[in-house]
Amino acid sequence: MAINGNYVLRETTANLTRNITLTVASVLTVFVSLAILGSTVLVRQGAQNATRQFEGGVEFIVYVDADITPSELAAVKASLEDNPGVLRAPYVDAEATYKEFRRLFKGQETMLENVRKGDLPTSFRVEPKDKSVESVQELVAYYQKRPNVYYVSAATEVIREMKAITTFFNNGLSVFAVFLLVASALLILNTIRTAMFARRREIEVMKLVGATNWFIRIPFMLEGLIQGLIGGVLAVGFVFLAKGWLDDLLNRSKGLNLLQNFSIESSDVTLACLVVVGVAITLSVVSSALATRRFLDV
Amino acid sequence: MIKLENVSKVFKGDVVALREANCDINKGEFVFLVGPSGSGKSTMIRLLNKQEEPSTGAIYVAGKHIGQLNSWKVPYLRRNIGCVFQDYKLLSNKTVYENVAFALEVIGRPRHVVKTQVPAILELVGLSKKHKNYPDELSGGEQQRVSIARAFVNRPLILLADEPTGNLDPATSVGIMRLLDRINRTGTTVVMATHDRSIVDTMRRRVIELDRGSIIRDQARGVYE
Repeated sequence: MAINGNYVLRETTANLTRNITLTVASVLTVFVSLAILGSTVLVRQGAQNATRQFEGGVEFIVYVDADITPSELAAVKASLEDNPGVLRAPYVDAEATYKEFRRLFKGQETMLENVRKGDLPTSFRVEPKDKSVESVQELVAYYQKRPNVYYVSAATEVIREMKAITTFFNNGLSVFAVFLLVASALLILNTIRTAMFARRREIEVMKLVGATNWFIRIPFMLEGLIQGLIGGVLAVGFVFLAKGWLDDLLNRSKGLNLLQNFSIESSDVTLACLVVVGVAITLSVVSSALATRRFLDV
Repeated sequence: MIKLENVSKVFKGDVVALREANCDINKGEFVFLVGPSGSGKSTMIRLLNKQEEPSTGAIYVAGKHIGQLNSWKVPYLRRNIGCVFQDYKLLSNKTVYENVAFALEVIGRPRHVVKTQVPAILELVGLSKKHKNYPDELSGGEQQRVSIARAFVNRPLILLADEPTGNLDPATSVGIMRLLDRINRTGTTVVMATHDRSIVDTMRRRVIELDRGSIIRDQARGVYE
């Protein structure tokens, strides 16, 4: 069915301005909840960047000599795989190592220019069965002395702490964000219900003369969507601000061991923005769909 | 055009609004539904455009069993059925023109259709000069004319009128009846619920009388009682 764009625009604007206080309330709630959600994503990504090498239970990394022969490599691999204390020890080859290096040293052109693919030592990422500090230290000391091993790097206390802190921080914020998201969904729902209630006589007439449910629904759903989107766009602005603040903070605290590898890349900002806008759209569409379902039976 | 087969409607609390009603209304007929308040006239009207569902029985409108109609098809059924009410149901924030145009806009009629149809129908109901007025600037009779214009602007096959003269004085009612008669002469089937004895007696059309939900009389060219 043809839906008159003019009609939809007129009705949606009327709905939005008729209940201006409610509209502002829902937009602000959406904004605050999504700003928190966006920041959570940023912090999470930053922490992940800092600890990526030690993800998935990896407690230490065994780097082998750059000029290792395949048979020597096989010997190291066998010693790791046969070790009863080791759960998994996947090998990171030259290609993957170089990729990771490019990522870690992004923006540092001299480093990137001077290092070639074969220059970097390849490694095994080791996940031990027992992750207590003592047993990990024991394994580290053992492999440090093995032939053809260049260096063993262990997940330090700092990284463990950082993971713990960011997880705690993120979980707390996420719970907070979820509550606020529920509140904003309910507010949008309520705003639309109010708008529909204010116009129930019109809706009644529309139904009697044979307007389809979608025709009646679309201006109201659009109203919800616009509220969500305005809140979302504001939250995206906040994510960029937050990125600026975090960069600032990191620059000033470079000496701080805890934040050493903590970095937020533009791809992380993009991800945060996508999450924010995605949630804004889903939230507003779902709540306005729910809101418009009632009033429409008959 | 309209057919009721053993239609009953029972509301919550065992209130029987309609009991085993059977009738057959042909295209182009003008039918009065008469009977005291609570006899089931309004329920019968509301069943015809699917504002209510029958508890049992089958209703056919324009050859379709409307009980089996998908809910998304109901709007299309209603485009063939104009409705006029005792309380007009006009939108007070819209002018006469806008009230009538609204009925076309919301079923997606293109603007050029609206621009030609609305003035034509306002001419028919005799309100061309008042198209810019708001409903509360009109008399009751004029408001009912607007409501009839809105119901008829889409040229429906059927016009349902639930006590359209209920709030009007006898002289104004005669004007409204002339209008409905004129609409009926274009081939539109008109079903009108009414209490108005003099109208029924003057018009001498088919009369269906209801009493406590049962059809007790169905008479061609009948009188009120």
